[in-house]
Amino acid sequence: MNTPVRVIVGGLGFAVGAAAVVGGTLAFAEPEPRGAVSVASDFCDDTLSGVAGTWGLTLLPQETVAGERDVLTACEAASTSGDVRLTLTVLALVEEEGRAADERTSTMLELACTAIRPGAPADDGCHGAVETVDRLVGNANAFVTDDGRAVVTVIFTAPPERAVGTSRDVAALAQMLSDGVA
Amino acid sequence: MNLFALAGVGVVLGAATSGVAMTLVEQRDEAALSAAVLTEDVSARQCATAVPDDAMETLGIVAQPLLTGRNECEVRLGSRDILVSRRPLLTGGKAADLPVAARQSFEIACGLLADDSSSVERSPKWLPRSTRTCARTPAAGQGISEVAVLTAENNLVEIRVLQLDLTDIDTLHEGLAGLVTAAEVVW
Repeated sequence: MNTPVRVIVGGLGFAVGAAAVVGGTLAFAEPEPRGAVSVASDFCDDTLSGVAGTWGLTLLPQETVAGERDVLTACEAASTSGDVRLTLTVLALVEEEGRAADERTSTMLELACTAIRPGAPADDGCHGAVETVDRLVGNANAFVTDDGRAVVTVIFTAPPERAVGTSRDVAALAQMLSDGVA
Repeated sequence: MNLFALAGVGVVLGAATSGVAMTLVEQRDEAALSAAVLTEDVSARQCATAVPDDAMETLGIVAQPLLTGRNECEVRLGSRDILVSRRPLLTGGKAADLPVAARQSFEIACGLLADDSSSVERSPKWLPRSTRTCARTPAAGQGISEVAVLTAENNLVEIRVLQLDLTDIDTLHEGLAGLVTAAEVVW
């Protein structure tokens, strides 16, 4: 057998081997990651107007901050004097190739819960009272939506004599948003 | 060497080469994704700049700024106290998403600013207008003041002042403004 034939046969074998490995890798690759969920431009109004009306709060303009991939939507409603405030954030995260879908949401949820409930476990989110040294001044909740695509925080504070009423509204908002924010 | 053996050697070499190449590509992607953690410690030098002399003098709390075990800059004088700390941030992804993560942390910090005797102001006029802030100050200027600061470099800085002797709210505002300006310089 002469040298050119050997080269051709060897080269064909090389190509078949490489194609098998590359093809196998691509065939068993994880599905294409999903992009950030889109939040409507009237999301804050739609979501908070009911609670704002009950408490006599004014809605501030919806704000959106976009990173390279993630998008934050921030909502706030406040009383004229600033003693009652309702803050809602929605952090829409994209999935990453090569990482479990819930890995990023878990990280960001933990970060939010570290601020809201320091020291408390955050695996399934966190919720509870906002307190000063000795008085209840509100309620807060942080969770990942059921579709796993956004981290939501709800913080509602009010003077102590009214703060006990915030827990019901925080729970209702969390219930409303748990399905998703799109 | 016969043709089958030659082809077999080619298949093995091809598979090995492409397998190594695919692994290298995946490792490079992983390195890009695992960036964007912002947790380095505050230094003593940063503390000295973060709590400038003029702010301390305005607030009537003049002492050596010290770095505490909790990574905070503290100036303590009797029962009076200045605390400046930077919150660790991370995106869980790329550095380019840090502004989003920083803003979320700022909004949470701002939402949690509440107590039983003072109201919260967003970017009040008495703080530097170029910096996004959220502040609560005691009505009479005596008690605990807190300011959350989102710097231009996307760092979340929290300032806390306990002052029981001031009688002038404008002086308190001036001192806090000096600390916000310093935070913007350091972080």
